[in-house]
Amino acid sequence: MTIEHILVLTYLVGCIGIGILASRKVLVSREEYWVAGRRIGTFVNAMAIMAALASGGSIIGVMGLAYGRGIPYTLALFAGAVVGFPLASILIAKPLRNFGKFTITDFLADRYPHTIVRYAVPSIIVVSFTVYIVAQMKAAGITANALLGIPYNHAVTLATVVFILYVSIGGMVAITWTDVVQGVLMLLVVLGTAVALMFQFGTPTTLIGEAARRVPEIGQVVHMPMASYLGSFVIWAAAISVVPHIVMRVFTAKDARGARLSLNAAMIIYSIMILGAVLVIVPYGKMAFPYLTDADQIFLRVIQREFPPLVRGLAVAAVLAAVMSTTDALLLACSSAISHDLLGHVIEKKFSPKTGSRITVGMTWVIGLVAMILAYSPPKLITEFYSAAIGLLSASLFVPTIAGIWWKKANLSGGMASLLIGAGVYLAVQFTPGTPPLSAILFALPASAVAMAIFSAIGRPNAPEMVEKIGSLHSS
Amino acid sequence: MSHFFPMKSGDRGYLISILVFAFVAFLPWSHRIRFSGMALFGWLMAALMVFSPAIALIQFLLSKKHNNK
Repeated sequence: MTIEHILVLTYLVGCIGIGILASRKVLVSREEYWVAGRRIGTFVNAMAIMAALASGGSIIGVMGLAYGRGIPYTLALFAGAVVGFPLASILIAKPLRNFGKFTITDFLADRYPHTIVRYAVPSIIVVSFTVYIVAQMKAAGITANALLGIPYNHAVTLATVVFILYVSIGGMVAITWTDVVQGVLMLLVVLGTAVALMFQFGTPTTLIGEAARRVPEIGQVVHMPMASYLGSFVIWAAAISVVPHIVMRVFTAKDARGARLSLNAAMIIYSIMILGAVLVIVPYGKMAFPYLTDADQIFLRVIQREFPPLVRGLAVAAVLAAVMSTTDALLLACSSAISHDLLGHVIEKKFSPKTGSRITVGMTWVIGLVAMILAYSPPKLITEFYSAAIGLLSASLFVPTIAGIWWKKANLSGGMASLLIGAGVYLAVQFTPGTPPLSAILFALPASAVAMAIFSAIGRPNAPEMVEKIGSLHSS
Repeated sequence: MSHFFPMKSGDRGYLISILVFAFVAFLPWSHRIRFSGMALFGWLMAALMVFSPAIALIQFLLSKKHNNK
């Protein structure tokens, strides 16, 4: 067994250990399991938010995307995610934290009380998050395969079993603490690699200039239609306010102010890491390996070429950390969508809290194993793949959520119409042959907004109590 | 009576500034100009990634100080 294997094994055992420790606390109460008792401090929450967003996509995928589609396209996509944080901080952090439930479905089903909303929202979450999880598993598989020599399918299976174990038994407490460890590890490895390359080869402008001299396309806006650049930006700018694994973190904060501060701090850390990867590691990688057939391999090739076994072991652990810190949050959000949003009423009525917890644990295993089987046939360019899935969430949930919080006239008819029309238009455009990648959101979001305006105007107005209730969410 | 719940003027100004910056950055003029091998559009996106979180955090901390006073 090499030093890389020992490091990775230690890391995986540590994650399971945290899950076992947390399980003693969390399986006794729904509030403890889903939102960690709502007592997570600002710094810890910021690091956990950053780690939850900085997925395998953000380490493996961001560099693969920049290598394959050029740096400007990648920066457009990730700038959208960064802009999404202040949007979320201003638009949803305070009202949703004051709302005080567990999930985004809780809010939407309360604001637009109808069975369709109660079932449509978690169903959309489960579909798009399963795709998201598959992309993360590919990152884990190719990393362990490239740096440890473990066969791809075995690596996917191992990573899946470990994170299902600690999510299913440790809930949000385990996720928060593993996310903090994983966030620090990711920052160290990505920024450490970027700084080491800068010392050796020069500043980002030097590296990009040299790379562009050899491969001009890397710095040009030529790879995709402009609609794809704009679409990738808009998908992520809108997504942060509604993606459940980020919104659940808002619910874990001690108070509304802490929730907002955590979001703001998280995006600064996230930006620094992404810029280090895209502006330093990618141009170097493009010069060193100009003809890779799988662009997502670029970071691993750079690590293999430039660093000793100890760093390679840390890199594997960091990529697994990135994958797991996002996938655990996605898994928890997915299992909450099924066992809290879809089946919560039945579970509460018919089963004891302990049996309810076991059902939740079972759901986590089912979702994880389904995603694992799908990941055995991985997609190309994982960031583009999971961004398309996140687009479905943005298209269907952004307008109903934001209008539901800020517009007094948003009512049941408007909410349902904007949700269903947003999702319908997105899927229709997405699967129309010839549509530029990630551009469906540019049609779906306006359609969702127009539906909200028209159907709210013709539908039954809100009861005064509803307006008063939403108004109370805005007060300190 | 407004149909919207009130938003702090600082937050509103921040959101509008971000939208205007993004709109201007996406216009075609920024695609052709190049610095150090990359289109200006890429540098503007990188700047957005640095400045939007920094300004949001400073604004939030200042508003916290103001509220405490």
